[in-house]
Amino acid sequence: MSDTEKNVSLIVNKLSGGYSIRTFEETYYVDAVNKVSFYVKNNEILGIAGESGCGKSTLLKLIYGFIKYPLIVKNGEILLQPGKDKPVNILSLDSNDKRKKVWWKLMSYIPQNSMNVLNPTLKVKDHFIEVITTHMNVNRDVAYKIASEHITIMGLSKDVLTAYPHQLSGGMRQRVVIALAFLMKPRVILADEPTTALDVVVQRGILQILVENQRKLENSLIVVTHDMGIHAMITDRLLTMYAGKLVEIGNTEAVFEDPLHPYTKLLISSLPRLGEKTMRKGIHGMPPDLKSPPPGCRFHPRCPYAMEICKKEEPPILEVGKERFVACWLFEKEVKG
Amino acid sequence: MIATSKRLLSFIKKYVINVGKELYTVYSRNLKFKVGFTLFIAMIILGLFSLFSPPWYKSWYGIPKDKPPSLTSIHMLLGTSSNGRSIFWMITNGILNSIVISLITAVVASHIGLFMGITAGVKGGLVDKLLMFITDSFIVIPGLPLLIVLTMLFKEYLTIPALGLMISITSWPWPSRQVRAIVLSLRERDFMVTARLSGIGTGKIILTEMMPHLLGWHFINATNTVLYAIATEAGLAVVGLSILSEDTLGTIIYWALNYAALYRGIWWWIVPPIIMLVALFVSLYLISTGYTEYLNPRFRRR
Amino acid sequence: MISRTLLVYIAMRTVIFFITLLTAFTFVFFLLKAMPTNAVENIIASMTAQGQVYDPKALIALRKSLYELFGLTGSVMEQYFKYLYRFFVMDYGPSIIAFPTPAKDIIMNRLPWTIGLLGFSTVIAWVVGNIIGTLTAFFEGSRISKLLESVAVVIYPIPYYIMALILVYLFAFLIPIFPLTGGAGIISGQFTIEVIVDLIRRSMLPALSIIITGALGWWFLSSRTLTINVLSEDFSVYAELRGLPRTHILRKYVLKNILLPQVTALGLSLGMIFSGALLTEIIFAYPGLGELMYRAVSTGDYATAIGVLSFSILGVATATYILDIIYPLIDPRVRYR
Repeated sequence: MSDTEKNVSLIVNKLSGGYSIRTFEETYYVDAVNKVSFYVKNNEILGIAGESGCGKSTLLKLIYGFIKYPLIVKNGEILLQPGKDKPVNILSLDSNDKRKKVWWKLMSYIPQNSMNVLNPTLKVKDHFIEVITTHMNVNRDVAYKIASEHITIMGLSKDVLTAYPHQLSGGMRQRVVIALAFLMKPRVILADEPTTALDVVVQRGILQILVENQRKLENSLIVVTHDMGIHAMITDRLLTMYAGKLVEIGNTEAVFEDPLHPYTKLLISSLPRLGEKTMRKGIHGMPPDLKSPPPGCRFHPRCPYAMEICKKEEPPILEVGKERFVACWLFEKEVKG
Repeated sequence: MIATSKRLLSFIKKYVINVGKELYTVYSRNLKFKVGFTLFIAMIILGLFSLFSPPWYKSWYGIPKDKPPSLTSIHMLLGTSSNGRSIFWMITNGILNSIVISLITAVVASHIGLFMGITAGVKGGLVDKLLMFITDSFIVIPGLPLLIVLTMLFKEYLTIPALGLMISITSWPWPSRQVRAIVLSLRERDFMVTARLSGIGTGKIILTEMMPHLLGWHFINATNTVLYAIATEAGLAVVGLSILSEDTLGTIIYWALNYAALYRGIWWWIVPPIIMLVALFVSLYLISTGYTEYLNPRFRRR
Repeated sequence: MISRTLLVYIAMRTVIFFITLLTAFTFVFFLLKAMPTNAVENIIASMTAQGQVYDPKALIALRKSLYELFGLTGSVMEQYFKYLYRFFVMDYGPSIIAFPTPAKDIIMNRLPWTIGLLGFSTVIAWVVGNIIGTLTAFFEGSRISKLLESVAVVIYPIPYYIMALILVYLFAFLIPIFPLTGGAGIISGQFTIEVIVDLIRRSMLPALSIIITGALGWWFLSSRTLTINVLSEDFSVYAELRGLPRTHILRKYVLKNILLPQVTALGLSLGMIFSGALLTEIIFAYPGLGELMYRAVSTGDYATAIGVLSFSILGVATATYILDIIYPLIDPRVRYR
């Protein structure tokens, strides 16, 4: 194992998956995630950025192993490194193993739309207790103690536990869901759009909880969002996706300072910066139809730098610096080593 | 004059063609609807046989009684009853009459419901509360007992249309609530707000924006009402409160029970009407559910 | 728990209860007004015409009650209020089928029979129907589930009285397990073992017709649809993501969320008892309210018939009222506002 690998909590290897849709007229496959490879290190926050529909949420579901019709996996492996034990290939596990060994204990999930994921007929404390009694062999009273300690550590008031979900505000519910995610102290936490539909002030609070607790636990946090501002604020490394393909990955500061891939460039330049007074430019064109994606590089129809080869062949993922990767023909000559 | 009647004609033609296209689409896409619709059409065809009934088919003791079914003649296809009548002709007439009565009920009740629902939903406020209060008070009155009392009172005046109207007294509240619910949910949808903001008048909004959605539900309500009406008429008939001089599926059962057909082994008198009723119920239910599934993809089976 | 808002709510509902009764009774009043005056005389004439001698005082009482029920005495206001009084006090005058026993007494006599049979059967149908419906949806895709659904589709539209006829034919005639008619001769009031066994035998078929059409019809279909809906809700998916076992999800997520609407529906259908198995009782000659109604109709006993009708109205309105009061006590969403 290389130095990097010893320090890694999750490896995704050439992962491909998508949706198999059957309508009355036809059956087709939506290629949502195509040959994506990357790794996540211990004690880091990795951000995944991209437009709506680029496959980020699907990627998370695949990583977690939550494969439900019509989602299918075509290829690849997802290796979870649970500390000193052997790595586990998520895709090779059956549902029982996933449920009993991996889910919530090694890896947890903060779903999109998390304001509506709490059971309206259960009090908040029951949500915690049920997780604890399922994954640990303790009775309800002990579980309750564990839950209240945890809630306090997360920075929430104990009163929250005795409430019903509808009595809490959206932001409060979001915090509860985050608290649940950290409950079993998993190695990897997947967060899907943790701040959408919340106002900026509440957003800040949510991000604070996320980051503080990640630092305390020193585990890996993957944050998926289209909001580049959030990536700039909290992530250590940044991964951009486009039309199901990994497009660029690297240290967040480096990517923001000098975005390499044309798409990343356009994404970042769409953000306003202090002092800049020029007009923001959008990216013209539309994301491709993933039923039949364009040949070659999927970004070529919208790319201002598109070359002939881009239209014909898919660019490989090229290493262009320390832990810096780009999938673009422009950098063929700059490949390190 | 000629111009308006020409326009009317082309409007009707367009309407019929659209309905036909819609029915064809649902038919080809939804199994439940297909089965139900086919079955229902089969029943109607069976009922249409009644148009060929011989003029003497209503008279009692016209043919030998209590004879089991045989293929000797078309009159004997289903055998004869204990009062000397051909069951085959009774059944075919019964199907048609039952359907006619319930169609009258369905047309009247579902349109009252449509009107009340739209008015309540669109006007809102006091009008809505008032209309819904009236509706709710009516819902509280149990249908069958009320109808029993009514048919008891108006026994002499019972004709087929009158019975249809009577049953609609108990069937209009339900469609009214349904339509109102749909209108309310449509009102808040984006396209409605856009239409309102663009200044189109309320009447036009109802016609052009809401109607396409409403018509689907109107059809479902009408179908459910037909089912309810057939069942109710049969129920009334079984206890002797329908039009006993006419043949409906319910009255056939009444007379059969009256002559203790079941216990005397004359099964060919009581079994066919029950089978026909069940067939009608199942077909109407399939049509209704099938169409609901078609309208709302969420209910489609995976 | 008993907050001021709750008390206000109860008060409002009570008021609405009485107003609804008032409106319903008024509707019936107008419908009854259509009865021609001489019809009352005809009724009384036909009674005496059979040569029987009646106590003249009782006949006068009968005439008076019939006139008032049909709103034929005094001014319009007087008519209305006299009628209303009779309805609220439940004094329908003497019955005709058991002259001169007041209609009210006969109705009261029969009430426990109907409530017993129908209440019992409805509850059993509800329990059974919910169980198989929920399990069918939970194990969606299995062969049994598809089979049950097809069966339900056929059974649901069949009214219970048709089912009653079918059952009578099959189990009382073809394979004579059960007696053809039920309940006769038990009104003596003795409760020996023989009588009870006999009672059970005689109520089996009517009960079965209600149970089969209910459990395999409406309760099956509704609980199945509800379960499918709940399982596709975000909170159910979240429960799965957290690795909670299926049985737990069935109990705390599915059942807890479908019980509320189903209990409400049960309450409503118990209210419908009065118009419910009317015909079943008639077919089985079961001595309940339905059979009474039938007898009243066949003998032209308007007093009793109207009495049963208003009882049914009262029953349905009361059931709805009680349900409305109980509902906020069970649904946490409504309780804590």
